[in-house]
This record gives sequence, C-alpha cells and structure tokens, in this order.
Amino acid sequence: MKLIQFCLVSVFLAILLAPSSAVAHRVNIFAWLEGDDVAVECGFSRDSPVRNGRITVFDAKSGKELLQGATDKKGHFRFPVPQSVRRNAHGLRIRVNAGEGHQSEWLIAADELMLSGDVPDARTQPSATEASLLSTSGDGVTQEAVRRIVNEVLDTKLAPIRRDLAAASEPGIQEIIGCVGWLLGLAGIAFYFKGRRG
Amino acid sequence: MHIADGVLSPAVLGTGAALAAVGTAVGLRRLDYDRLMTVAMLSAAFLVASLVHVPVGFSSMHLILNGLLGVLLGFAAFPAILAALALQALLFQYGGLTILGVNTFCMAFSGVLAGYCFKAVARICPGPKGQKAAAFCGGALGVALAGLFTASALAFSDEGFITTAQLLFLTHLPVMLVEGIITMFMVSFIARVRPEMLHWR
Repeated sequence: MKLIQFCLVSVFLAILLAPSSAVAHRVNIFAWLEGDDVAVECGFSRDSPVRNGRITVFDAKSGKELLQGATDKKGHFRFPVPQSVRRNAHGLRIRVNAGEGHQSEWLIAADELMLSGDVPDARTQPSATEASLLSTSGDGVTQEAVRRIVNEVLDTKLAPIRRDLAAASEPGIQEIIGCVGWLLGLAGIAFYFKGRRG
Repeated sequence: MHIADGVLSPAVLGTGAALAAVGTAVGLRRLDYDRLMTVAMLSAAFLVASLVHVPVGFSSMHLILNGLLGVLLGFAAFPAILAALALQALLFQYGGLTILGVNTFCMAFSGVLAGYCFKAVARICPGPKGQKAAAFCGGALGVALAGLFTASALAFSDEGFITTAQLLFLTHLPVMLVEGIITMFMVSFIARVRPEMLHWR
C-alpha cells in the first residue's frame, strides 16, 4: 500500500508543481481571414512557435493541392485566398507538418470565405433595403467599401476569440486528472472480470 | 514523440497495429490479479508525464517514462501504454486512433526492451549499486529506443530516417538523463519497500 500512496502523491505533486502554462506537446494550427488573405499561425504551445513548418493548402471539397509554403520564425504564414476556391464556393484545408510526425489541420469553411474580401457573385448586388440605406448616406461611400471595412474590423476583433477557442482544445489540469480517473476505472473493470473468473 | 494521424502510409499503420496487438495480448496474459493496480498507476503516471511539459532552455520537453514502465512491468507495459495513449487520442485528439498501434508499439516495445536490459545488467552486476546502474540504463534506453522506433516508422514517410533519428536523439538527450535518474530512484525505492515487484515474468 505504501507504493500506491507514493504513486498517488507523486502524480498529484507532478500536477501541482507543473507550471500553469503546461500544455501538451501537440502541434496546433490556427487560421483566420484578414481581408483577402488567410493568416496561419502554428505552434507547439503559445510560447514555442513552429519554425519553418511545412504548410500545404488543399481545396477542402476536391482535395486538390493549391499551394505550399513554410512558416516564419514566429510560426506565421500568410497567403491570398485562391480565386478558384472562392469562385467554386469550396472551403480550404490547411495542413502543417512540423517534422518528427507532428501534423495538424485547420479547416476554413466555404461560407466563411464568402463573407470576406471580394465576393464576385450575386451578393454584391445590393438588396432593396441596402440600396435605400446607401442612397440616404449619399456621400459617395459605396456599399462594397462599407462591407469591406466591416469585414476587416470584424476579422481583427474576432481573431483573439477564435485563437482562445483553438487554445481551449488543449488539455487542462481538470482533464488530466479526469484521465487518471478513467484509468483507475478501467482497472476497476479489469478487477471485476478477473475476480469473477476466480 | 506522438506521430499524428495522416502522416504514415496504411502499410506502416497496419504493421504497427498488428505488432501492438501481439504485444498487448502477451502483456495481458502475463498480467496477474495482484499487479493490476500497479499497472493502472503506472499507466496514469505515463499519461500525466507526457501531457505536462516543462520549459527547458529555448524549447520545452515532457517526460515519457516508457523505460520506467518497462523496467517495472515487463510486457504488461503494453496494455498500460495502450490505455493511456487511447485516452489521449480520444479525449485530447493527441496522436490519433488510426496511428494508435504504431505509437503504442514505439513506446511500449522500447520500454519492454529497456526492462530486459535492466534485468540483464542487474544480473551481471549484483548488489544495490548494480541495480541502480541497471535502472538508470533502463530509463535512458527506453527513451533512446522510442526515438529510434519513431524514426523507423517515419522512415517510410517522406522524412528521411537518419535526419529524423538524429534530431530525435539530440533533442531527447536531456530527457534520457532525467528519466534515467527518475527510474533509478523509483527502482531503489521499490527495492526497499516491495522488492517482489521487480520480479515480473
């Protein structure tokens, strides 16, 4: 029993003594739209970016490879939204390979792409209400310009929230302790079956 | 050293899954009632160790503890590591389910080999000092072999074997040292409180 006590104490000490920024060694990828560009950020955790990670961008629907690149020293990569994707209303699948088997993907859905930048489709035609609103402003501001400005501001304002969402998928201390409970539960099930067999 | 989903070819994935299944079957067969809780505890230690990482210099590292598991459990390290990696894949999208076999084999078989190395060295140099040296070798060897197996699995992908192996070995040198010391302390502690634990089949 001494051993079990020792193990329990050391597991909990390891959790408690670990720095609060403790995160898993998994490569994280996060991408968002900034106007006509897609910005990509890759890191093992927020403090250690993926330097020179291989980025590959695919058409999410057809799976065709669109472009390749590498992240810079801060783990950033930026590319313009390919016109073919926007025209066909397909999404983007962005993959980072950081070497040593570390790979991760991020999906940008088609409707997200359609909401930003130049949209060469029927949406640019102002609806009746929009047209009347614009005519009342009357100082030469086109509807397209307003749309672009609003989109850009929204992109920059929403980026930190999206980044937090992406970071929230990393395991915290509660999840780690929960996992230990899972394992003890599995051991309990094993005890049950071994005990029944004799 | 978790390989992510979608990196390896189906042939490598299948081989890894088959080898991991064999190892787990052997491990479960050799696992008796009295050792179940020890296996669960060490499985939990393995899981926590690889989720918590400590900043070292410019980068960060996490312990693997596969050598310790191999030294204390022998083949029973296979089910312990499989359970921990399966939970990491299911709950944290860490590694992945298709790659689970390869990751389990890389981590567990290196641990098992480290365990047999511990037994061999402890037999050649008997006594408490020999046992400590053997435990250190076991802990360090587990990490080194895990790197070697991971590099071999990646050799069939588009990354070269030599460069990956070198990179993994160099970045894991401090981990090898730390795990050797941890294994040494754990084994000398267990040799004092429950020496029968070190005699697995």
